[in-house]
Amino acid sequence: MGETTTRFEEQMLPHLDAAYNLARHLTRNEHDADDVVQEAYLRALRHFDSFRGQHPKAWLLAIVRHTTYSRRRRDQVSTITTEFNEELHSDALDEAGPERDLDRRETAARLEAALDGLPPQFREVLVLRELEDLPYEEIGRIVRAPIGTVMSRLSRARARLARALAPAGGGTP
Amino acid sequence: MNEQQLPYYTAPAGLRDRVLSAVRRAPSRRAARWRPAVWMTGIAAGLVLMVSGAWLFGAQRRAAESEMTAVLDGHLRSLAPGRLADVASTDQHTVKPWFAGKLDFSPPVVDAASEGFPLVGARVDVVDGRNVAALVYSRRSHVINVFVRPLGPREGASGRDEERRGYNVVSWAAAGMRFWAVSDLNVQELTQLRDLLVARIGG
Repeated sequence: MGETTTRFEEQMLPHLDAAYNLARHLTRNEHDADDVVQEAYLRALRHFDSFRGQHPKAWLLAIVRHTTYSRRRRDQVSTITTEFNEELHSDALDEAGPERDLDRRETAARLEAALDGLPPQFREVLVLRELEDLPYEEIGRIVRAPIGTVMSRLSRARARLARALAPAGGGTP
Repeated sequence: MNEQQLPYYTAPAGLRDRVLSAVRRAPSRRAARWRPAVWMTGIAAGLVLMVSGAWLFGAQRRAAESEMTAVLDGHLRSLAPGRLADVASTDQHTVKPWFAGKLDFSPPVVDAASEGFPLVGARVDVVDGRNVAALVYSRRSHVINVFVRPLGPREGASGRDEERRGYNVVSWAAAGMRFWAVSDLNVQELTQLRDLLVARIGG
């Protein structure tokens, strides 16, 4: 206790949002994401002596990812539920007029569906790159894949999302 | 794709506190791993101490016991004809130098004739495989052997009185030496001699 825990909190707690975001994208479920984050933090604390001051966020996210997958293996629960996302839609409501709002709603729902349709290997690289802005090298370390693989997964993920988001009826934009 | 549209899910309110309390409640890995190890080490060390302490205590008792037997044997041997003293002198200034070259230590030699314990002589005896000084005193017609050897490095200074086979043995430590006075003299007078010698030799 004491010093180590304090150091752990200082280094790891700032990345709580990133941890939750990744967990939420991978689990596609709020409650699971919540559990994953708590478990991941405990796991990170146990392994904190192996943390050598590398990119702290990347280190933590690797544990979050690992926790998610090992939980999934453990539970064998693969709920492919596409929940209606309150947050996302509230955000959209706040800043947009009614017409835009409808448009956005539709887009967001389609994006959500598209994201859900992506295999987790694609989702995780998207989240790490687009949302966490991590360098390819760190992403490769987190998902345990070579940089080339990371980049190709990213471009395929982007392409699939773009296809999904293309105006209904149209092919590629 | 338009990256602004990829949702960023921020941690819900309360998750931070839940994580914090979980982290603070959890023993760190090192602590969790070390605490039993520390206990085990402590218990093991305690056991070793207890066992070695008991063994040492037992060893000391056995040593004292075997010396007690040995000094009594030495006393009995000395009573055989012609065996009492290798140097027959009532003069402590003759007896003390006589030991030089015969022992690896110089025993304190005190005459107590004025108190009724005249020095008769001395010899080198063997007690428990070790050469010791044997000072011979007499009291009326009783022979008293006082065996002397240096105290061991960790030897206690406690004394001991005992009666064996009709003989009294009084043991004490003084001035870095271990003494045994053995005689068929009564224990009161033997103790009196001990007190005299202690007073003359000094602590």
